[in-house]
Amino acid sequence: MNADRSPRGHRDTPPRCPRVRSRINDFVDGRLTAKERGLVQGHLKSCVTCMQEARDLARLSRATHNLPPHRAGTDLADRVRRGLAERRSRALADLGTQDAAPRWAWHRAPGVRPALAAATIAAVWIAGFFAGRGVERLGVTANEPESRLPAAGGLSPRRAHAAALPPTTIEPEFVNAGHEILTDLEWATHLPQHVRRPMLASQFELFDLRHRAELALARTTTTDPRRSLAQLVHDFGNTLRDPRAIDWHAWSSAARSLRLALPAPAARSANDRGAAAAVVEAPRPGRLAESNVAAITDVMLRVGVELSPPERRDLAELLHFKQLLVHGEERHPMATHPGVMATFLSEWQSRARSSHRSGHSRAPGEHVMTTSLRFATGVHAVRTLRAAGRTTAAAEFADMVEHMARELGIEPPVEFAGWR
Amino acid sequence: MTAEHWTTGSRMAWRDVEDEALLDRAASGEPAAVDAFVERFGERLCGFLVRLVRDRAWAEDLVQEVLVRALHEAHRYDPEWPVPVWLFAIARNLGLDLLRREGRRRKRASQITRPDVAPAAVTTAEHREFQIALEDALQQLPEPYRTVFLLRDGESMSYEAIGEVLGISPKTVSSRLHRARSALRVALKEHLPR
Repeated sequence: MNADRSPRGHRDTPPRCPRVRSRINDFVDGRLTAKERGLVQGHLKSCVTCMQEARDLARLSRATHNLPPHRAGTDLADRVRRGLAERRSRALADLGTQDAAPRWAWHRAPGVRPALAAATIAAVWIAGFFAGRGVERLGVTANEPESRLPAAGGLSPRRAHAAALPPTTIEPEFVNAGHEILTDLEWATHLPQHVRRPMLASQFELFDLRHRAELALARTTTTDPRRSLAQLVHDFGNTLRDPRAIDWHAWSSAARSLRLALPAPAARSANDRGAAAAVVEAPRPGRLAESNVAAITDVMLRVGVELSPPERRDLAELLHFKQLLVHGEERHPMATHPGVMATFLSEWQSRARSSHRSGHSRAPGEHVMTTSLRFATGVHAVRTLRAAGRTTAAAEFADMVEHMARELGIEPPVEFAGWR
Repeated sequence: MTAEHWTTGSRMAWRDVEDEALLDRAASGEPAAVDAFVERFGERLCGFLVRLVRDRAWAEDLVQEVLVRALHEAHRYDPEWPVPVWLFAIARNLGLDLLRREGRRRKRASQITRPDVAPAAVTTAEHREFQIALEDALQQLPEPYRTVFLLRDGESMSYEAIGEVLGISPKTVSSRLHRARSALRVALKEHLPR
């Protein structure tokens, strides 16, 4: 034992020391089994040299962990945002360059195809919520006889004539629809990844968008911005079979690029304005269609299949949402808006996780749900009022929406910044 | 409700958002999420990069590049690993690329700067001296050992996660870590209490 206590180090240490020293890192890092740990601890009690080494390593580890921080400048967030925007603009420019390349080659470029695929699948999801109207708003008609066109991989004969068609004036309706759909798709990114997939999968069988896209492509020229949107839908057919391959982030980037490619939204049609004004002004806009409630319930249940048992329990409690929609104060046609679902599910997910972490298996309160609902409705109202030229009322609603956004811990739409 | 209250509430909300969800939302371009993402990881990455490339200005540029690249290419993230593992892998690769590139062009003296903020826990001159000696000793370590040590003792990453960042086995991580710590212990023997 005396030899163990020698301060002269290695030469006087017993033969066990080298073996212990080879494991001392693992000991300090807690990577030994209980038995190994016991053996090392036993040795440390009797060997000052090894004990000193263990203490030194532990202190070194603590000191390194507590090294003072290096800040990367107070404007780092601004620089990152700018850098991200530039990167995405470049991606858009690349997209344009590739569009001039041999036909149908550009969307096969690395990174582009997944983006388009994701966008189209998301478009289908949105289309599902719009009960088919979303796609038709892109200028694609579902019921035309030409819609039966070749399967994936082959070029439609119609597309061969597309470049020869005269330039098309983009209808304001198309532009508005494009912006709306892109906004909806952007909202969809708020969904947690494991929630998105089953939701999308549930919509896969509803539409044969690919054929519709073929038709739309046949009507557009390479310079027609509608082409980009139609192209997104076209790729849908090739990716339906593997929803796991959905590339949401690349999609999100592509959606923003497409928004830049579209002209600014025009004023809505008189019919739209009238319908929207009725929504905004009516204190009780009327009973929500039972079919919409059923659709929401169905989606939530599908999502539930993918969840863990505690999460499912929370979800079951949240089906009160259905009751809320039918009987509560917040019943509103906008309840079927995908932005509402995205916000709602995202909020629910984060609250549920927090609850689980803190040991309370408590579903989020109705407050979050109703706020989400009001938020989406408010966004719609602001846009509608702006389009109708009622700027004062729009500003009032914008205030309300910003308030609710902060309450939900989310950002109000960027476009609001310039409206007030 | 005041603007201050909203800001505080918003920060609290972001604090509860898990890394993966935050990456998800920041990558979708949500401005507040980008801010929260930068706040959560910017400082950690900067500390790591300053000690990796030994140059403050380079490190600041690299942090920006790491975060932009991570958000732009978030679809490449493998959820099997925690988000920091992915971020530090990007940071290390970019740092080594820069060192290779710039190292050929010009010999740049080691200019590691002192940290910005002294933590509250560090109050004595002795502690301060130890930290300075540790920073200096770290600069003398060869990069593979320095990186392993910083990821383990600075970032508390598991051996497996470090192996993922560096593309090596946990066993190699263990062996490099052992050498790094031994070398630092020798270098700092004057500062370690007997």
